[in-house]
Amino acid sequence: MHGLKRILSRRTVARGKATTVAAQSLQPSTEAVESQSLQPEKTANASSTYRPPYYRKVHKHHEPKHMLQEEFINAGDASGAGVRLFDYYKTAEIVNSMPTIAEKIDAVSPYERPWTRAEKTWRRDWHPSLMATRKAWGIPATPAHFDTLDYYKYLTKTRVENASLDEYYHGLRPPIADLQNKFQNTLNSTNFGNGDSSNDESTQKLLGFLLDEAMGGIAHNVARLSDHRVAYDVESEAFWIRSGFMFLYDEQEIGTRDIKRRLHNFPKFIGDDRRKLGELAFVHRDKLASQVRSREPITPMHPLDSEDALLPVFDDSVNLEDLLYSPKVYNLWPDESPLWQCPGYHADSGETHLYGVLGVKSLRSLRKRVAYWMGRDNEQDLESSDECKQMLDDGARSQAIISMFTTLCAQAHNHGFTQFNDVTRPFTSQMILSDGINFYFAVGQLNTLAINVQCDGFVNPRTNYIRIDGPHRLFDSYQDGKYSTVQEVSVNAEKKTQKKVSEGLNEKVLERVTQMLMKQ
Amino acid sequence: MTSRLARLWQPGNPQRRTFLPDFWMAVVESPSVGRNKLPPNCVKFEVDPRMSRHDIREYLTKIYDLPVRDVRTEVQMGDIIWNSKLDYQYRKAMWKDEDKKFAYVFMSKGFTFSFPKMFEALEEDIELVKAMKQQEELKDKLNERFANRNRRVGNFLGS
Repeated sequence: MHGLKRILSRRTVARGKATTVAAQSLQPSTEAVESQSLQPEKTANASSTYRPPYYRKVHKHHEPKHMLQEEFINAGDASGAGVRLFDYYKTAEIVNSMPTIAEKIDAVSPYERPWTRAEKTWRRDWHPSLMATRKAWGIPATPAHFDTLDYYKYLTKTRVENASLDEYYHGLRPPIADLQNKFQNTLNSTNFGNGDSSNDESTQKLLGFLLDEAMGGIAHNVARLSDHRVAYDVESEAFWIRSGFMFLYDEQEIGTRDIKRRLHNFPKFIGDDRRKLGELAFVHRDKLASQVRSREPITPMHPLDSEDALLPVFDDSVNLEDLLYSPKVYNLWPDESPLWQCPGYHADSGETHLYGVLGVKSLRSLRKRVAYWMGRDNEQDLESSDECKQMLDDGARSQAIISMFTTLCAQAHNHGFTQFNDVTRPFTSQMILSDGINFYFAVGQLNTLAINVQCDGFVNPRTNYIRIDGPHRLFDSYQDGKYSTVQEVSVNAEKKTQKKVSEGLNEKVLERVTQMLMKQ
Repeated sequence: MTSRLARLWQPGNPQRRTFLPDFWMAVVESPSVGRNKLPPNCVKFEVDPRMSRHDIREYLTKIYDLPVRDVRTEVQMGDIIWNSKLDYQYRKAMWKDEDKKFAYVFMSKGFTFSFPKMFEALEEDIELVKAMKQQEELKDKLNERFANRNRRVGNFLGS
């Protein structure tokens, strides 16, 4: 009896609470209405997402069987968002509670080891079937398809601006006469010639020399450089998950035009989560010719809460359906090896210089690829055709996007941020991409990492950003060991320019390389 | 290479050349949605299994003058009929279909290819059937408005 009384009293208390809440909600104050209208879109967060019962699933179990199921769908089942969000915030909690960065990276890694031979041999029919382990889609070190630009923008959620970087380096006027002489000597001593017979390895070495000599030229004036760390032949690796690939489960029924999303009795797509969430894992194992790292980060281009960080990746004219295909179309291949977040160093290496200031990447192998696509026998005279030029340009820009994102993503992970706890400050880095003759300069900023979830209630308008300047030719002609460049010289104050042939290498390239080293 | 048998080569004879090999290629339709969707500048062919990527590129550029940029090939193994379906360890193959080779040919950027519609007349019929089905459904919907849901009785009593 006593027990029953206690239950009754508890019930009344609960009922009382419920009524008060209901009464409050029935009479909204004018202030509340005002604040509601001012509030932006309703977003979910860890405090507003509750643990769903275990039987809720991210997808609909089955077609509604009767009228009740049709008309009164349980809010948790209407879209799988509740379960997905709970899972996301729970993972974030777990990641936050991890003591070391290496553990955090391991916790968010989508890597699943392949089944061992014993596991495969001794599985019996009464055991659960061995589901395919998750593999990340490997993005090659040079684009293996000629039309990757927009796809790479989507994969990294990066807004690309093709504009000059003069404004960014405004006020930096380094001396370059010394570098001009030294680098010409280097080109002659390495038999670079007009660059046609160069290969990837020699281009990497040459870019290393360029960086060394540029540093040597300004080291006496810039004391900060003595504390920088320079590395050569650097591995820059990162993995990430990108959402928005649910279309991979669509199928048109034979004989009709109906398109159905098949989630049951249909194989999981490679790289996707086992719940078939359309969230593919990607990995980029990049090789940088050299890298400059420092203890201090360089100044970001814009703060995280600025409008620039919220600008969309694509214009309204771009239809994502025309852009998104299976990664196989873009010649990406599944990568089975373990995944790392390695911006030139590993998380457990005790590295003190954590910020990559400048990365230099060789694009020589891109020329080989373009020559193959165009059915040419050799890599010479590629610039003579417009289509070749376009391919080289698109390839270089795609590579800039992906290399920059890889470096910054790995850097952010090494500072304790993951895709589950998004960055709270922007990460900025610079990059030089070159095939030895054409130079691209890029400055990129990582504004968000949370690109792995796409469902109702998860709103993340922030986009990453990269500004690419190029191509700038190192020289225009080569004859008898001497280089000459066609330069545009301003004639008068009305910004009229005149073309002038001058001896030596392109001063703009040499100046920009030095400016990148000086940038704080 | 060709269906004609070449004369036995004797020392001093010129090099044997085949000017039109009996290679064949057939365009295959690919779905417009889902994981096997292809961009408009990509055409899928089923090709002679002896053809290499280079052969495919040459075939399309030299004969049809197409702007081929990249060729990727895939060999699909033919189905095997086993004497026992479940005994993975000791089963024997009774029959194996021929392997098939498919080529994914990527044309230049602005190129668009759409698979010819050969059964448009049939598709119209499908539309008609669909419209009829919708009308049927509409009939049920109309009746639904007059149904008293609070006192739902079994169908056999209602009618």
